[in-house]
Amino acid sequence: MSWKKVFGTLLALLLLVGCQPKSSTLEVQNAWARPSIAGQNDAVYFVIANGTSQDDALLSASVEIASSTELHMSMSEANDVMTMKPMQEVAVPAHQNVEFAPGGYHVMLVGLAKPLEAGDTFPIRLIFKTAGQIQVQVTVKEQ
Amino acid sequence: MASTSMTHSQDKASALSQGLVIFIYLAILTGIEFFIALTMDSAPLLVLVAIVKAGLVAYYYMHIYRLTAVEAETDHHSYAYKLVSNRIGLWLFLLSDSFVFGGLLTTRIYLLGPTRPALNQFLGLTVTAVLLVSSFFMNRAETSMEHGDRKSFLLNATLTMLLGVAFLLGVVAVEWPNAIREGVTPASGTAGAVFFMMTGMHAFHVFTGVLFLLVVLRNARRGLYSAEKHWAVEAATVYWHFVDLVWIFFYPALYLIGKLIG
Amino acid sequence: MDRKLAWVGLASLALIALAIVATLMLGKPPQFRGTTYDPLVPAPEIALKKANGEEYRLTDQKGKVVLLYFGYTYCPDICPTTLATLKQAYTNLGSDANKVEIVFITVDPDRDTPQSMQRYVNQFDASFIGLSGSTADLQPVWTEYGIFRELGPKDASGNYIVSHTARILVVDKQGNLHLSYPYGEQWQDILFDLRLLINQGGSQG
Repeated sequence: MSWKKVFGTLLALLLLVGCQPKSSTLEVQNAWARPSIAGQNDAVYFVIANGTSQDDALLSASVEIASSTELHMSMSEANDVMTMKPMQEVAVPAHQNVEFAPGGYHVMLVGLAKPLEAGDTFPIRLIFKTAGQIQVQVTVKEQ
Repeated sequence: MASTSMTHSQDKASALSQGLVIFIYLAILTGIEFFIALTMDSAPLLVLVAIVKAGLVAYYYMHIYRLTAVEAETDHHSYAYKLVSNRIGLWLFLLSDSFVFGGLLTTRIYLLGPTRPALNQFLGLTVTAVLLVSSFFMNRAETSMEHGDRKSFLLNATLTMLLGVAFLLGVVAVEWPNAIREGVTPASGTAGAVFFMMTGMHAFHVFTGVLFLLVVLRNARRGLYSAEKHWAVEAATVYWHFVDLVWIFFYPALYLIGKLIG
Repeated sequence: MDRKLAWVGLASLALIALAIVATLMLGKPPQFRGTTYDPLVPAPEIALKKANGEEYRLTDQKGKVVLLYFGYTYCPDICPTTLATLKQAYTNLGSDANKVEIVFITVDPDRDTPQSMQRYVNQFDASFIGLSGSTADLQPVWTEYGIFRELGPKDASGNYIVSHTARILVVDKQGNLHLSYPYGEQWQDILFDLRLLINQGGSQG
């Protein structure tokens, strides 16, 4: 019955379409930071989604609203001692996501020039080894 | 004619009263469950009550024992034989569906542990009661059909369907917006994601159950079913009770874990 | 009604009643989700200056549940995250909030003054208390509370990281160290324990 053939083909096509890889670029998503006061430090978090088939690495970041930025990884040492390790670069392997989140990787903003309040946005420029410079907007929110 | 599994082991009146008694048991157990949640922080007790409720629904409402009531059918083309196969097929389907819900429940336990999302208890209890009552009417409807009472079947099945719709509205149109207003959204964190995933998946099943009932109601109105042959009615019934059974576990998992302090 | 049905009902009720009794009898005292100090120890005194010049004394806070956290204002990630978590728990206390006090004590007295500590915690909630003092004042507090701190190397601009114990400590209404949490504890668990502590026994002092 040709009805079945039509339906079957449509279904197969739909499934194939669904299997397409989503993006073949490196993207930075959901950049956010907590509110803070002038003169204080802050941290920017985001997700780096590397849809390319090339390994990459985040080398540095820059913002206008702070005097400098550093890449850090928060980590725990023995006995619940928390510390931060400055990172020269953060590897972002091919086809993987690397999450910058509280308690882990973060971009430290040193010495904010102005206060940040919930709802504000500001741009951050991220320099990648292969992908080059990517700029995204950071949303300031409480959590 | 080969005997069907449709042996009227009870007369209609006692079957109906049995359905009512089971509903009363379920209602009492739900009350006990809520009382336990109010006064104690004991997940194992809630699990026990849920299992007892589930057992009652599975045995008396879903007639799970009919799976073993297999008569030696020599005629593979007989209705009785097909009925047996159909039942096994339906329960296999429910088993696979249980994996979906079981997976969600496991996820909830793993991600949320002894905490629960901040939800409105009154709403939770109300929608639970609505679903329980709908199962009562579903059982009534099926019993009516088993005894050839088409009018009673139509009435009770319609009531079931309306209560199902009420449940859907209660969850999607009242509970969800309320949760979102409280800050529990699908993206607000694990608690929100788990809540919406569980209630959403369950509500979707209620929705398909309502559609199933609509189809069965239409066919019944056209006289397609009889006391001896009404497999679709039995299937819709068992599916409906399955959806209630899932909620028997989901309700305490979402609303009652941890002592209810106000 | 069917005899068998009646038995099913009775048996179910009996089973559940039995389970409830067993749970109550074998029941353990309230299960805290944090790590309990066993045995409880009186919380060592903390006497440090607040931003307004008044002295804060921990022993004066009996009757309230006090959450202590040690950190520093130049911390961009761990400390804000922890204070945000404490804020979440605090906000959800509702009317019980006035029975709980949250105190942030510095591990970096060279850079943190009582005023800068208070300014820092005010971002989370104005009722939080920020404390600092001289290293001589703070060292005994760090030691007695088991707080490790280590100053990292100074960079070109003179900035440095401080590694420190990031546990949250809870002093109950009687002034005893009762619970502690590791970094990353969920606010719901902290809230749960706070409610237990608030409702525990009578208040003294």
